[in-house]
Amino acid sequence: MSDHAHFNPQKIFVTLFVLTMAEVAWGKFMPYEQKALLWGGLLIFAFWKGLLIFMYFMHMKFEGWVCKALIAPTPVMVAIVVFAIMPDVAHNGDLIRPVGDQYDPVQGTVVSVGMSTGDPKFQHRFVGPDGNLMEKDEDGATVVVAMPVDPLEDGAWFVAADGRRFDREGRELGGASSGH
Amino acid sequence: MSEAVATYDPAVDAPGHHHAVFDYDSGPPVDRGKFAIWLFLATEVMFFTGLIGTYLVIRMGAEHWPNPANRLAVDITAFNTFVLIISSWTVVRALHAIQSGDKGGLVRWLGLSILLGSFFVGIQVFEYFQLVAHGSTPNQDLFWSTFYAMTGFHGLHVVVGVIWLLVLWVGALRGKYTAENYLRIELGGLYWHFVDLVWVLLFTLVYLM
Repeated sequence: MSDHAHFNPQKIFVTLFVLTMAEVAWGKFMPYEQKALLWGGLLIFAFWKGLLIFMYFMHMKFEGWVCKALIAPTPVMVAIVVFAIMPDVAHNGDLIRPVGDQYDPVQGTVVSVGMSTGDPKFQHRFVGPDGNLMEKDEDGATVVVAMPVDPLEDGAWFVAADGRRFDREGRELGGASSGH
Repeated sequence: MSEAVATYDPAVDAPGHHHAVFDYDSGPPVDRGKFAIWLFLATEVMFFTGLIGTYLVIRMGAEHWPNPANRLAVDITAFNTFVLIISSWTVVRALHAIQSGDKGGLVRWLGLSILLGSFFVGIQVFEYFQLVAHGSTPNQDLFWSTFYAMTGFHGLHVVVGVIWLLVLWVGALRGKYTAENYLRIELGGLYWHFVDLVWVLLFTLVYLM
């Protein structure tokens, strides 16, 4: 029980502080492309901090068996939820409408823009890691279509080298082209 | 022997008459309030699991996902994360203060926690206004819809936590809590730490990964 919760809160606080600083530094300086290293490190920091809060600030380390038993099933249920949704990720490529496709009320169709799967069945444009508007050409190579600009009055978010303008959904302005 | 058994009257309590008397407590060996709050927190874990799980499905299923650092103010939010962690520490200090009978300390540490929690909410609201002003609304794409769903629901929890702490603070001002009577401070603190814990995970998932 918390009456017997003898721990130094300052020590836990300083540890959390240092871990957060280290985590932010890890997130900033680790290349975004190296996902395994970036995500692995970040998750270790996050769970470490979460565990400190859970065990000490929330006194779980000092609680009796009833409170421990109350919270014990939740990691199992969390695992069940994660495993239950895993097939949606694993079979994403087989779906008729992959995750990331969105209904466009203007066109009245489902379009793959922004965070699309890149499936060639769905002609698409998307925003690349550098913020450029990109698309895949006939050979499947990713090419830059236009560069981002501060949003203009006509709704243009990207302007190509040849002057073509696109809204933030990748639709060309002043023309019928929607990338299809 | 319990008082109930000591006052047992066969003429009234014997079987066949009205009701039997049992010399045990059928409740769990933990305070009911603490039992309830942990049960509630377990359901809250599942609530956020639903949100985070959905986010992970969308995120892992998408071939392209923008680098959050290009869209979000990571530095300001990192500072806000520090604020929330500090508020957790001040709530711990508040509980320790009243456990040692320091009523003034309880008022001060709780008041500081409320200020820090309100500051966190204020920064988040400011962030929302900035994003919306730049056209980053929830209907723009999946990045923004998942961002607003997760941070928004967490923000609501922080608001509830601040209100909870405010109620405790008013009680503390009136001298309601003592070194023997501090359970409500502990329960409010548990909720506040939980909100902090969830933010630690959300900050990593949404802003850094």
